[in-house]
Amino acid sequence: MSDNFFGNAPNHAMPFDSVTYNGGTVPTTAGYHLVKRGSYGDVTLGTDKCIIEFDGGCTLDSLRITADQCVVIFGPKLRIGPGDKSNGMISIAGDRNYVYIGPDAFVKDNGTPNARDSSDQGNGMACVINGSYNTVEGANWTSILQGPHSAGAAYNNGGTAIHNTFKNLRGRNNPNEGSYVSTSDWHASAPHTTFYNCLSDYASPGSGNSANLGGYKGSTFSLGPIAGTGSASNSNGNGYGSKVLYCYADMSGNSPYGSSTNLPTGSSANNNFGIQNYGAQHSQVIGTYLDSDGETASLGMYEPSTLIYGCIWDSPSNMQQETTGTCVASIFKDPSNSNGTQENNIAVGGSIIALTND
Amino acid sequence: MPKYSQTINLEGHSGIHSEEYERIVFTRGNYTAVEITGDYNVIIINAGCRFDGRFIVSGNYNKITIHNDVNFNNGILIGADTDASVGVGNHIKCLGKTFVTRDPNDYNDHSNYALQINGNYTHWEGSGMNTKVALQTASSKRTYACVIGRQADGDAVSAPTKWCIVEKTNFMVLYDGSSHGAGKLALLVSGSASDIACGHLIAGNWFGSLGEYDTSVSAGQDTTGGGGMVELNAGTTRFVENHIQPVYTGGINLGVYGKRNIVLFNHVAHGGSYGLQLYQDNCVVSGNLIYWNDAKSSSTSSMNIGSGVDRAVVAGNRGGNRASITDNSTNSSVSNNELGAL
Amino acid sequence: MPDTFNYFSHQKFTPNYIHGIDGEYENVSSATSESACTSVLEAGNNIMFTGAMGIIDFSATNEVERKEMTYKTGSSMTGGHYINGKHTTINVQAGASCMRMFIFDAAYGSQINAIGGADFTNINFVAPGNDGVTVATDDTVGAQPYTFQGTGHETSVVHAGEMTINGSGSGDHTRGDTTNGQGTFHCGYEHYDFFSGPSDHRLQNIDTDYRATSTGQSPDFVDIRNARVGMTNVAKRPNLSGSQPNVNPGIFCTTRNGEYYYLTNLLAADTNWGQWWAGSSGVEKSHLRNCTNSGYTDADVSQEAFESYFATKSIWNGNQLLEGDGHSTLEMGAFYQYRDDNIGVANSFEMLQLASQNLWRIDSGANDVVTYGNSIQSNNTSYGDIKNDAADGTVTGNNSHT
Repeated sequence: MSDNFFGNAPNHAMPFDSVTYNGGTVPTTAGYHLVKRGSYGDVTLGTDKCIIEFDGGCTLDSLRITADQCVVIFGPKLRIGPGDKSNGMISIAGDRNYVYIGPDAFVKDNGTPNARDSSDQGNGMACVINGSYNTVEGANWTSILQGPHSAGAAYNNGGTAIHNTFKNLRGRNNPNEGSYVSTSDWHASAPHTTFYNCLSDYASPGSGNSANLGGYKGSTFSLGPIAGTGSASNSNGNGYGSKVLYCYADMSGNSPYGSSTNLPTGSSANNNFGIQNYGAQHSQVIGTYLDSDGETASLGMYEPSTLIYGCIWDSPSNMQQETTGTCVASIFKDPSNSNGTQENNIAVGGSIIALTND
Repeated sequence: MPKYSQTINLEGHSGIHSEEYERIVFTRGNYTAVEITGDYNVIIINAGCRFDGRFIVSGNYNKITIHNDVNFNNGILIGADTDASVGVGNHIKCLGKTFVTRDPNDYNDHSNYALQINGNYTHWEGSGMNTKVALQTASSKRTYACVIGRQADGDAVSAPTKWCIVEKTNFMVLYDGSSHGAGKLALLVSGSASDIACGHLIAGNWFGSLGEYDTSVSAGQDTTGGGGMVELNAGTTRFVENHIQPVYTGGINLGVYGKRNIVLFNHVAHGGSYGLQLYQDNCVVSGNLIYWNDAKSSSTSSMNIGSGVDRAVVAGNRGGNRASITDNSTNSSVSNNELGAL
Repeated sequence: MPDTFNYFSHQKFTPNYIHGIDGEYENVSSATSESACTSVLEAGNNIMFTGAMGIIDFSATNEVERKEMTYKTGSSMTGGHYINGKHTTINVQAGASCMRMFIFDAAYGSQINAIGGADFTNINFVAPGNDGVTVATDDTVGAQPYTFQGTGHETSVVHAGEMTINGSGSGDHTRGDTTNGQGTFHCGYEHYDFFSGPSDHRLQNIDTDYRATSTGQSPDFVDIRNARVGMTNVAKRPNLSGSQPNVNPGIFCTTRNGEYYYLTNLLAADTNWGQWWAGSSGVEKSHLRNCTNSGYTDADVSQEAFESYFATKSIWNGNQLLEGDGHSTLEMGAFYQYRDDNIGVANSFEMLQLASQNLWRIDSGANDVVTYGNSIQSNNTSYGDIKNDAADGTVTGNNSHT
């Protein structure tokens, strides 16, 4: 039987410009390409308007997009890594790209996280977006990103990344690994980063206390600097206008991930944060749920003009915002003070009722 | 070299597909019952397909794209009837006009569903209002357009379905012209799972035909049968940016019966009984518009908060026509709602 | 009939059976002319077009419902495309250039899906009267909406240049081309809608190669989501004489008297704008959510915008109208709750050049609105505060600061 798959009959014609099988090289030219199940190493898209559909069961060493207007649609059971890429295992440096990650995907970075004053943009991060107007979308929470510094981050130390979105993805850190600076499942370290229905499936960064192995400031969603010793700025990470919409954070033992690793005591006492905002003015956290299972998991907005609306925060920690912050219609333990506008919050010294099975 | 693809166009084909890692195309035609039992497939259902038998996805982690003008005339089951760990992680995406219904001649005597979502992590992504999941009533039968975590015998799946995404779809239960049936809901989520963090996101959907208020309900309009429109029985559900609007309905438009549900920015119109009923703790209900047609009397509250409710937030809503809501909660923040006639 | 399909078998069960990896599209066509494209579409369904298509009336020979087309990466539109078949679905891949008008004329239930960074300039959803909701027990039941969905802000519905229309009787008729013409979504008519502008610019007088569209009202049931939109330089808008006001384009949508609009996750970055939403005051049941405008730099003209009107029973939530990090140009109004019973919640504002108009107004006749949980930063709390002329409704939980 002929292996000719390139039928050009009037019916059921071939839409693809190429088809690549296991052992071949993924095409990177402009066009519409199909890649069948197989292992494909590092894939770099440097030409605009390259559209690739991967079938189920593909394995890559990395995906890097430096061009614009590319589309990469991964079928089910994608595997990228474990590996160590300085730009991230999935790295999007161009603009207006769309990456879809199918169900049962696992993208893992096991590199060393950024040191506190490092300007590297991708160490220890599974997916990094350095460009603008990009979207990375998962099928559901079986589309998993994992890295010791970040699962997914929008960041650019030149300050030009803006308007990027992560959607329908699960992110986690590596247990007992982390960055002294800012370990978090998700980083909005560029303006107008949006997380929509992302799951933070927390793993504690562990007990070390060095520049790039430490438990300092492990959090679920971090809005602000990803590196650097200074305050929020374009070079350090600036999450101006970022959004956490209808997201979910589960730090408990019954999370989909399984048991969290408790953080030991030590000098790095600031750990296990919930959402931390140290550099994102005009950010919004709307309709988001967190279950801390007793971990610290604070909700801290340390920038002006923040908005918290309609959130539920099962945590022993208080909510913190500035005098220009707005926090309404939410449930958490207590406010730290009366800063800002606070209205209709269930937060008067009480604790919310435990779920039987959470 | 393996041939990982197949194109299927078997008129009247009925079959079980157990392949994995395939790229499967259903070309335009009529199919009977189909079951996908394999995993990791990319499945394309071409424009113009008709499935006259049930379409079942019991395999895991498939990506299914449904093109324009596809009708599933005898229902879809994603998962298995009684086990949420079967058929997990599937992503079904519609691109255009999609219609999911059941043949009333095939109804069982208990509970009938057009779209039955039981597998964990299912992502059902409609195309928008063009994706319609509609079921007709039948005498003495229960009819639910869409269920999450429910069995054909009417019970909830005991280890409840979790972590699903249901979006951009129009769900309806329609009067068949002679009987309003034994009960209905446009969406029923779980049961006996109010204390369990199921983590669903239900966003950007429409429930009901979206017609204007009409008590003279005729065939093809929203049934007035008992039950209601949407019932959420699972914990940690995020129910946001939906629009519920039957022309008239028996029962409650939105029943919030799971702990820690987040109910925001929904447009809830018309109805028979309460617009929203809240019976569980630690829910947040805010930014919603909940009202009846202008002809509805002002005697019934737009929102009913039950006596067992503790530490809930109901604020920043517009509710009417009655100038008050029924609030029997404790330790809750129920205020800053704009009430009264619209 | 076998229970298990064995793909190694080469049996042919029907004449249409073909094994292999093709089959998703019934035809892949490089046709570019109107006659060729419509012939292909009428002969089959789920067609992929690959070429540089000119002006096409897709109903030129036969208005057929329920068709689907995909414009492949590398394809383009060199003229406008007109559709009036109901339930037409068009998928557009990134790399396809659709920088001409799409006109859906009473093509109820039609839909555009963009995949990735596809390029559009002007989408028109029009309807001669509203189709309403169908009562039926078959697959025609319910609303027949117009839908546009991109995949995110990589999808672009922007112009590539500026308008050159100046005044009635003159100007540019090649609307929606790459050098001028408006961007965004237009669902209406009359002078509220920049799509038509002065009477002699209305579509039916433009370019005789186009079929005359039906004149009439805006459609109901419109769903637009996930794109970046861009508006022309507002200073170039038609300068109408007489009693008609200047047209103020809406960056997100213009419409006349429709209902049931859903605008979700639209971004207007670095773009001039007249209004977010140029809906006439009677557009009830509008739902504007999670949209963002940010980064306009006001290089040449003042950012003079009219407020966007909330009509009855509308919900506007989670939107951001911001300067953009480091900018400060926004001068005039933003939201105007004009009618009763609408909800504005969870929005964020940053407007740092307010000088003459309130950022947020509640009309004296707007009864029973909800204005709650909004964050406002401005240069002037007098203009930045919510101006509640109704003194009615629930207006609380907001933070206005400088």
